Amino acid sequence: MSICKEDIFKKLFERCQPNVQRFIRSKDIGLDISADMAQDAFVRLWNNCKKVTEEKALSYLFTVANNLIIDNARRDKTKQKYLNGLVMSHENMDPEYQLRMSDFKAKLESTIDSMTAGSREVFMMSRFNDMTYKEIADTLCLSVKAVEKRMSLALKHLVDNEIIKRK
Amino acid sequence: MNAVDELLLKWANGGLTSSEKEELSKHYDMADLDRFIDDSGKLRLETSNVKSEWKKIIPQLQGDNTENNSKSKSKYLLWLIPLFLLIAVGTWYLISLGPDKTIENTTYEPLLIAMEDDTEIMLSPGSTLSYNKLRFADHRKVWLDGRAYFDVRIKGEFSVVTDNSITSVLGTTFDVWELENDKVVVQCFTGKVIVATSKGMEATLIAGQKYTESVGIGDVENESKPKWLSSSIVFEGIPLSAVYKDLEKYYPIKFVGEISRLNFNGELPTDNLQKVTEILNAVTSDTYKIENNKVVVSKSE
Repeated sequence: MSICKEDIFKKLFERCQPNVQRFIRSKDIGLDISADMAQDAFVRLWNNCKKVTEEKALSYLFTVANNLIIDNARRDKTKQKYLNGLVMSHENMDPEYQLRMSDFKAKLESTIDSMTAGSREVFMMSRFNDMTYKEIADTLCLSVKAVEKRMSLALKHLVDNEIIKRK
Repeated sequence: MNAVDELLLKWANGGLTSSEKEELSKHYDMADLDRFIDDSGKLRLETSNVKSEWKKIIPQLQGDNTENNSKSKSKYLLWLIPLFLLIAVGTWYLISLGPDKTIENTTYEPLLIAMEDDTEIMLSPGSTLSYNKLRFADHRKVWLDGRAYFDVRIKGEFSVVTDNSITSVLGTTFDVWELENDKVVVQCFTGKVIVATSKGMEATLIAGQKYTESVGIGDVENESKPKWLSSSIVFEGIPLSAVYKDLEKYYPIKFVGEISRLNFNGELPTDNLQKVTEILNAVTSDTYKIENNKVVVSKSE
């Protein structure tokens, strides 16, 4: 189905914008700049809407976003830590659970922050963007083995920091 | 990387078999790992409000379109006009054959859709129905993703298209259910329907008959309407994972924990979650417990 019609494009935008912004944020880019970069990616998609099918749109957006991130990294204007960038997606939790989640969130954020950039990026795409290793590899133009290596280091870091505990 | 690290890596990608799970549990507390998945699943990288982002992007989309059009016009206007007209007419014709209106049932109850030809459609929770508004009067065709009950009152061709089947009817009442595993169940209550699947199977059903891919043609059990319209849903040989997915459309809950690969046969209410867990506790080997907005599934001791 063509995505050149505004109502179809709007639905695609509503469905994919958070994923694209989260992907950009996983590269240590702050909220406002990541929103601008996501906008830029969608404008480019709109300009090429006749060439990109709905099925390929998300992969196209990730590719464009990745290029934008590389361009911006060269200029080194967007480098920000994502610290405190995690939010709880569920409300109405009971107070005890909310307290436990707050502790967990703080500890996880600090552990993620101390990971290497490569491990952090892969871990966040896997955990917070629900992407498989294959999807991450395709998006980052890496081999699946390389993604697994980075993820393995991320998991080791979680174990070392007792976010995940050995028996 | 040692074998345990490899298992942990596989666990994080969500692909452990039960024997691998057992092996990993010798080194890690599985309940602790599940809690990590559950808790971290409730965290998301903060993103902007999609609606306000859409408002910001609209002017850029319109602006870019205008710019593109004017460029094309100035460069190719003279000799491309007839070609454009031909393409436009062709595209319009092709687009007009496909759906341009979509209705999604985002509620937890069946949604009644009254079509302009008097056909009444009950769309089940979590299902989507599309049709071509412009051409519906001439071509009564709808696209279904999920499950719906149709009461076609005016005679003439009426088709229901799913990813894997086309059901054609002549004035009748029938139910089409597209299952998660690319299968379809069609039940005919009055009149006659013809089911054609993408695997090349074709079946003609008369009133009181149903079609399933595993059995072929069978009988509908003394019903004048499908049970899901009256507060219960019947599953026949459906994997428990698909049963959970379907129940999540009727209740604001998620099934979490150990998902068994077994199939389920039976009837479950769509308006009483407590009863659902009682039935599942009784007839499966798993334990079901309601916690907040989740149903936690675990293996019985």
